[in-house]
Amino acid sequence: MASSLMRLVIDSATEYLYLALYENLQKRDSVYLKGDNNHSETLMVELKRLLEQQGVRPQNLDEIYVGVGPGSYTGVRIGVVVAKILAYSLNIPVYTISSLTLLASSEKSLLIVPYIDARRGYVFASVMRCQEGILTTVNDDAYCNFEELKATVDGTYICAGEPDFAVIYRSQLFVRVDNLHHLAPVYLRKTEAETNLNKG
Amino acid sequence: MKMTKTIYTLAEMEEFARAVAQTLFPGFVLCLSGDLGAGKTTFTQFLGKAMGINEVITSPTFTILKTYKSALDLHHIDAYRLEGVYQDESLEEVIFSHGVTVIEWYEHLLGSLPKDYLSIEIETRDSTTRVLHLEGRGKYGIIVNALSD
Ligand SMILES: Nc1ncnc2c1ncn2[C@@H]1O[C@H](COP(=O)(O)OP(=O)(O)OP(=O)(O)O)[C@@H](O)[C@H]1O
Ligand SMILES: [Mg+2]
Repeated sequence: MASSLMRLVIDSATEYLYLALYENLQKRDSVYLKGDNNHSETLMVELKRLLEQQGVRPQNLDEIYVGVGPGSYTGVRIGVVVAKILAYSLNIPVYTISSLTLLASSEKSLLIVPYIDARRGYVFASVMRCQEGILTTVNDDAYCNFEELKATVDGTYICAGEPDFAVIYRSQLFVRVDNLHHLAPVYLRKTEAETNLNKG
Repeated sequence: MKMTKTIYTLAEMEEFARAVAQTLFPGFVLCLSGDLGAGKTTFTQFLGKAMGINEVITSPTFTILKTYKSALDLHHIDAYRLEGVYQDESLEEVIFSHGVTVIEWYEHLLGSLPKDYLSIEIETRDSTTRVLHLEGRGKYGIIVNALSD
């Protein structure tokens, strides 16, 4: 029965920790837990519990999907590291997903603006269209001023919501990682730090 | 809002820290400056004690950050070694979290501070006398007010 794929989805880039176990596109179980900068403490505990409750051993996993940001600088790294270690030790493929796209998959309205607070009036955001359960990207992930964004884009703004991996999968909004060494978080904000540095 | 207050003894410093502890709220950011040995860590120890933290608070000069669990978590940052860094995203997430953050040598982390915060410059006069220069930006203005009487 090798036709059934056991998929683990991880995203720790937002305020919420998201873990889901899918058998093909059927959700077996998931965790969507609000944290306070403590995903590093909860991720492994929750992951172990999720797998044990489903009677799934790490060796049974076939694929890993991981949210790579943008989002929390410390948070996103934890999920990426865990995905990397699992994929490496189990010798299974990893696929990356934008954490904003994951957020968008929780919403069904036509024009969706998923956003993650980036402090001091800034957010990470993208614009997605959702039609017949398929998500498409209208505007790529960006670091932008929240007020300016709201003034220019009229859509359903969401900053929390449990992702729906089946939507992501059907929309083909994931990228296979060919070389595990290249798996890294997306930090859109680097540019701002560099700007400040250049200002002196 | 600015205010200056003179402290003559270690005991008075503890009393002052207890008064500050009364004003804390989730997300509180307190920036400390002053020469080596001015009393930034000492003040933080008194503040932690007033917050009900029993653990020994030590200077996190080498670890940069130490978090103490409490009703309101206390995040103690010593940015002494971060000269020229200006901004650090991982520390920034701590500073913007729900606990209380005390930053020694905050001048090295100006790029990671929120718009509003309370700053206290500790000026050393003699072995136990300290002049405190308080400044409350934005919503911290009323706190400086409250501490002045
Ligand atoms: N009124 C006072 N308030 C604070 N500290 C005092 C006072 N009187 C004496 N002291 C002493 O001054 C010293 C202050 O040292 P402390 O480590 O707190 O300084 P610091 O500002 O944190 O220095 P650093 O920049 O090295 O971190 C302590 O030994 C403390 O006992
Ligand atoms: Mg100190």
